[in-house]
Amino acid sequence: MGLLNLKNRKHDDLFDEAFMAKLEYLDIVSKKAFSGSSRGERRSKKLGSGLEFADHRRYSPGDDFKHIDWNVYARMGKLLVRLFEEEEDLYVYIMVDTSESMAVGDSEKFNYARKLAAALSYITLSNMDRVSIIPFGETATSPLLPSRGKAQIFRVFDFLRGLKPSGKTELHTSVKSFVHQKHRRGLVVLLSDFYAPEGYEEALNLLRYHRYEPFVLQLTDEREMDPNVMGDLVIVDCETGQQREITITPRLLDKYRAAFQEFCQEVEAFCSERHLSYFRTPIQTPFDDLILRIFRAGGFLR
Amino acid sequence: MTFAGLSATQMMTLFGSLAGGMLLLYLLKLRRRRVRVPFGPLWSRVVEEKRSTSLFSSFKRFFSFLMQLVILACVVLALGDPQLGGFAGCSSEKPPEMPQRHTLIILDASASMGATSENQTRLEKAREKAREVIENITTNPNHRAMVVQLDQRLSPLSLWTNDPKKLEDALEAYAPQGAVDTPTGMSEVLDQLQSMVQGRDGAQTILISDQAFNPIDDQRVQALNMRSIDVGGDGTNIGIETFNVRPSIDDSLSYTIFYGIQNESDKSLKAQLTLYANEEGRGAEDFMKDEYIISSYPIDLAPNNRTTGILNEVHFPGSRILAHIELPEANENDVLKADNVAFALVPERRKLQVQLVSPGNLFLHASLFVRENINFEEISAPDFTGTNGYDVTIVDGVSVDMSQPGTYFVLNPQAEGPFDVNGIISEPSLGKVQKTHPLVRRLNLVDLNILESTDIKTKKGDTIVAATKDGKPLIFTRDEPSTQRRFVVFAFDIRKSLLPFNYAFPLLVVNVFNHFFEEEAALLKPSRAGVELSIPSTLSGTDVSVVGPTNAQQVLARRIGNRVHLYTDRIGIYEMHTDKSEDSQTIAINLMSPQETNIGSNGGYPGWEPDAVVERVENPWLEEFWRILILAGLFFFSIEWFTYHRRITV
Repeated sequence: MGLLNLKNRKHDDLFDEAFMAKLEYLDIVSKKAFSGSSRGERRSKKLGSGLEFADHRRYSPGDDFKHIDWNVYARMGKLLVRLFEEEEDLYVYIMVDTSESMAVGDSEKFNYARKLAAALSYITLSNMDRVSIIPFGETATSPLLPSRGKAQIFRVFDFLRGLKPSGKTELHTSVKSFVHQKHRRGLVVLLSDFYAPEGYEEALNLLRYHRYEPFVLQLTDEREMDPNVMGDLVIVDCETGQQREITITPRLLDKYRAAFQEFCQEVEAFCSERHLSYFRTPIQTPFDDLILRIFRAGGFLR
Repeated sequence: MTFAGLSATQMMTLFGSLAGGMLLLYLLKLRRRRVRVPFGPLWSRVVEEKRSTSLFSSFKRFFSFLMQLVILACVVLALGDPQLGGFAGCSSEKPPEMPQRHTLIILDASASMGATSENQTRLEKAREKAREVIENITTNPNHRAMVVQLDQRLSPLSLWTNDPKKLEDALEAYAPQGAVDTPTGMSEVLDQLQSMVQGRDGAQTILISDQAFNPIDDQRVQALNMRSIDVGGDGTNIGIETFNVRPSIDDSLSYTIFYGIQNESDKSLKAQLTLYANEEGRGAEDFMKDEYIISSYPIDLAPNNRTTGILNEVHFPGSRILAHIELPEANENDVLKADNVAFALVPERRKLQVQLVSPGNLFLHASLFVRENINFEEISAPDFTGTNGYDVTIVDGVSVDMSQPGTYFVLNPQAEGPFDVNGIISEPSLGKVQKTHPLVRRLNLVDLNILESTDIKTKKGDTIVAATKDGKPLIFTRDEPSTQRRFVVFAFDIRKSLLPFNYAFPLLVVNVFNHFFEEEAALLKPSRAGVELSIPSTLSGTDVSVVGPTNAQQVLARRIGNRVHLYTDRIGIYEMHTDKSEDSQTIAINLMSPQETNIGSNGGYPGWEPDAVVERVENPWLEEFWRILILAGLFFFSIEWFTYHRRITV
């Protein structure tokens, strides 16, 4: 049986048949690229009843005798118990930015984010991990609760289709809300342009402090980086509505491009300083190429 | 500076409307476009706290607007095609104001302009002179000229203009087929010339002509401010001034020709007059072939004199005849050929069929017998059957039935005839003679000594030609249109008078026949080229078409009532046809103008002096200043473009 029975699915511009075919391709390619590594399972830092030896520690009263390493006791005269890594499912939380800035112009960036989220979800589900999608924007939208199994991909599609961009980027508020809910720890993929008036730093720190693994995917648009505007304008911030009269000259445009690069580098530097996985991609890059790059860089699937 | 393109008012209107449009666009441009950006703080980083609506920015925008107005002004001014008058505005001194002038150039195209000297006609010389005049005139942009052609009438060839090309076109249209065959109608067109220059600034007329016309009086010359350029010259010229053809007076089948030939040279010349006849001919070239020659006559021409002569007993077939005069001696050159030919038309003569009903009259016999244009037959009264087949019936002292239509020459009428006879008059003496009547033309009726005469009571409408002292008719005519009968009546027996012994008796008989057939009316009246002719038409139908010589370009014909109005400027024989008649009517058109034959100058008018030529700067860029304006506009546009390039997207 094909992994996806595409014929029974309704036609959709966002997740059409070509998109589905690409997901199948990505799934196969990812399996080949990471053959030999464990799949469908993930070794957590938590020690438990797994099969893989992790470490020794001193015996404490109450420990199960069967875990005592008698060979070590024979050699060293110390009671040490063997620790094993506990095997558990990976929880992948994909936080999708649904603010207005993602949909300026032709909504291309927002669609790209949704496709990326769908692709990551599909591959995650294919690895027997759990996926949850948490949209964040001004309006509160219920998250897609963690689900497992490939068949859940259609729920993911339906959920992503239902997302509408609006309002400001409430990254900090959303993350704060997320971390205070009782979630299993896991990988948190942040799909956003990070155009957050209140900043993104606190949000990422919150995730770190609560032992999530943030994976930052910053989406940019080349048209935003090199806008085709000139002359006397009134620029309007699409999220806040703030206006500013401005005369755009080629010199000013150069300064803007530099500022844009600086902004992106700031995000990247923040992440690298904190050992956070970071990817920046313009939405003009085909999303399947991006997925493969993410795989190659590692850190997403282990 | 003057404007050859748009006028100042038009330019101001155009500039005002376009500048208004630009102002509107400028105001619209001031409205800033709103652009949504995804992240405003990024722009805030790069825009320091400098406001884009600062005074300097506003000034820059306004300066751009001013620059665009300058560009617009350059373009509109270029559309005006400013003429700097050859000074190009580069002189430190202000150039003198060019005077407003109007010059009417009159080009003579009459027949004498066809005279040739040094392998060039006067017409070609006139064209060259006119070109020089135009070159001089067009140096002044305020000097306008008009070209007219003068022959028998005036034909404008251009409007008032300063455009050399249009004036050159007018010169090309000047007598393209060569000089026309008309005299110079200078005296007829003087009023017209006056009206053409009336009220125009600096008006003058320049007459380029050989001045072969009657002199113009000084007042007219002054009123027209006339200057002349004489293209005439000396040379030998002879021309036919008179050419009349008529049937011989003795009523033979021959013709008598009267000619008058002018010798316009200071020496005696021997000329040869040749006559040609061609029934199909229309132009001179149709006649002047050896097979059509009738006869040729040497004529001695006295210097500067007119030689006339009569040629008798000229026989020729048909009705079309041409006379050509030439100088046969090789060392003599006749410079003007146009006046060497003359055309004539005569009615074709035919023999009259005459029957003489008489018991025998030798006097009548004799007078009829010697006439070569008469076929007569003598019969007795009992053999008379009627007038059928006869042009004239002579009834001499017999009683016959004269009720049939016809022409009757009645001598000694009898009581049974159509006349009211009262009795006999014994020895009537001639009292009254109507000397102007055609019957007695060239005759003097004296010493008739009539023994007796019939007393006839005339009727209303009868014309008494000769009568007794108490008014009894001796010779009278009667026309009865209702019965289609015509009579000439001699009321006496010629044998009982001395009339037959008069040597003029045969002429009286000829006059009787002429009275019936009116050959007198066929005497030629010369028709001139260049004059609108009004010809009585014998043809039915209204649409008239005219066929003339091959070189006749301008033939205008229109029928109004019973007359055809015809105009042509070429001599020759013209055939008129109508849409409803198979017959045709012909007319001969001649030049025969002493003024044209006299090719020497009759003028003495003030000569033309060219205006002082204002030196132009030979620089096409400066002469066509609009190019500089366009370049200036492009220059300002480039500055505006590169300086305010961003505005293009605003």
